Amino acid sequence: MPRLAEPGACRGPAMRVLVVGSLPPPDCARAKGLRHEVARMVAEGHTVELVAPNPVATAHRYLTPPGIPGCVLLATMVRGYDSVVVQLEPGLPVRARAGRLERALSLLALSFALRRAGDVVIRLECLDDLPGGPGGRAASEVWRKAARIEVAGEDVLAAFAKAVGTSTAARAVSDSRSHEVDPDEGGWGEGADASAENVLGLVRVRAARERRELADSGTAHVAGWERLPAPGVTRIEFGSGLLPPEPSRGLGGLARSALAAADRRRLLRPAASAARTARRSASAVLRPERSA
Amino acid sequence: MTTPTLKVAINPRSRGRIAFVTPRYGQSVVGGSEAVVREAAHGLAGRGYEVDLLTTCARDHFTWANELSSGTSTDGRVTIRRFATVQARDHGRWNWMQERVLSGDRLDEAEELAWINGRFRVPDLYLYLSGHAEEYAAIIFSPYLFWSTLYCAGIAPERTVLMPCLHDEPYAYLRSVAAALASSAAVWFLSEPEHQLGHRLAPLAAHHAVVGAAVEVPETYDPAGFRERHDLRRPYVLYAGRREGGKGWQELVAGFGIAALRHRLPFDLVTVGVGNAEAPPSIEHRIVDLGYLAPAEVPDAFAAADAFVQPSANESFSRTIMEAWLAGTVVIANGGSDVVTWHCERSGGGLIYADELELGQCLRFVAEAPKQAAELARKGRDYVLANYTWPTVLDAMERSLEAFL
Repeated sequence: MPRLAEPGACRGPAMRVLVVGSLPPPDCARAKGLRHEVARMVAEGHTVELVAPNPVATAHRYLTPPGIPGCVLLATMVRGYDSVVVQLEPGLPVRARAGRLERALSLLALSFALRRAGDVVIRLECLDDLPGGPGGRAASEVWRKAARIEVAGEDVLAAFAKAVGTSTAARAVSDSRSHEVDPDEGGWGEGADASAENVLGLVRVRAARERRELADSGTAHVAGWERLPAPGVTRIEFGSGLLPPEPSRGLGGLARSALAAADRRRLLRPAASAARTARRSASAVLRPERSA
Repeated sequence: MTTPTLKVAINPRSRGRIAFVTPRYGQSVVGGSEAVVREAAHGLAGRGYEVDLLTTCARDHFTWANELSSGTSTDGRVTIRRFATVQARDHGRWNWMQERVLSGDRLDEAEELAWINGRFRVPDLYLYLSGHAEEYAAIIFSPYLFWSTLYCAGIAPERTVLMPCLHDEPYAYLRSVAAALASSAAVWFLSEPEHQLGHRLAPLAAHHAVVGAAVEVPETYDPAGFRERHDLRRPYVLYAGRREGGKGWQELVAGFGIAALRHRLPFDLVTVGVGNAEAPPSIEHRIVDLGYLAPAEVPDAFAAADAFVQPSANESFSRTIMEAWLAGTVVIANGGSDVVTWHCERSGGGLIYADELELGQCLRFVAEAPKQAAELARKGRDYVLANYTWPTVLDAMERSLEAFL
């Protein structure tokens, strides 16, 4: 599976990239950050298609209504792209006023949608963009789908790591704060810590096998980070060994109980039905691959 | 006046790489701003600039359908890059917001963006500009009221030149328009009244100027040949341009019909351009629609006319009155437009009317005093030659562009 080139890296083969998130207008830090990323991809020669949850943002298509229905729609779009970049924001996948149950269902719906996707990059500008924060089992299902997670700044990184239970790893990462990627040279700057460099090197190697490892082990872990050339943007890469292991109950059980709870609430029944449909659809597609 | 400090690497043989962004482009596209963009792009390319013209695949400004192929082509020295339009499906909601805008109702920010985004959008143009804006020293957007300007002008404001072609109409008072005027690195106006309107709408960028617009000066005219080719045996007054509500066509037909009957005028009303030319049965026989004319024939249409009527109140420059004056034809213009009134007062070459009664009086003057009308037209021609030829206008544009190079 081809992977999206990292900022500052050499230009690789042109890829088809689906970017899911809201570009300007309206202008805000999150939208501008995504535009910066999109501009980089276009300048590198990738073909980008835009899908936005905000119906007035610049996009080819829109994920409306937001929340679970949008995720169901997204499931029908993601195939055929080499990479899918998802920027989490209110409505994608969790609506701003969603309760705990709706939040869990929304996150599960997004993780189902991304099961069909190729190389997945998830961006999180600030923790408030994901109502309820990044912790919890449903959220971890989304993180497991990512080949790379990008967060904006060390504060967000620390909070993220704390919420998902990787505080030790995050602290280690923060300690190597002075070892920034030099955007001109595409590598560690002068004074780089050898151990940090080694960790990053491992992560990059692991990342290529990451999705297969996740499928095999059902686990994903924060294993390294680097700063993007854009100021204030920090990247977390998921490799193996640092996130808490997936609970034995597994995704299926969690999803079933969440859907059953949704069924008991009349307003959430349509959403639960949509999520079941998406899950059946995703399973139908994935099953032959597993047997192969 | 402050100037942008932007510096970009350029081809040493080039005077700089610039882009024009306009929603429609092509010889067959009818519209004043479109014509100004086309001719300015070719003019600056002729002066050594590398010019890209970024536009859509649409030709029709009502449907915005993709009639032309996307991709890159060349038109003389100008590189054309076309991007496909994407159209919204919720026409009902868009029409509802359109009525609110036209009635002067203030939309909130989200509604306003939904209105702009709901007509057509060009996401591939946005992506291209996002990835390649830094390759251009300046990016000139025109006209103001389209997605291609209001959404894309914010991508690289430090190198954005807005040539808005403003009209004093409800659309101009949208907050998105004010934001574009205020955030652009430079603004080019086509006339002083448009400049004053810009000041009323928004705090303008410090670097703004009235650069004007221009028309080509034909070497010769063939009025007799034009009349013969189109079988025009009666004297006529001309209307040229888009026949649609915002351009005053229906008011002209009504006013002409009343004047023709009241004053027993000898004229027919000949029209060239695009749009519906339907007229009431009582006046239908006096109206001749020649449709879209080949560009080479248009000057002859002006020269063969006894007068040119400009009924539109929504003008930022009014190329057609310049073409009429160049052809030695007197102009009768709607005084509701500050711009055409300004031109007529400065040149002393036009007649202004405020209503149907005054339109009738103007037409009667042309019928009864052709020598005086010709004298007015001569003053108009002198005015155009002194102010609105391409060398003069391109000089003004280049003076502004120097700040970006």
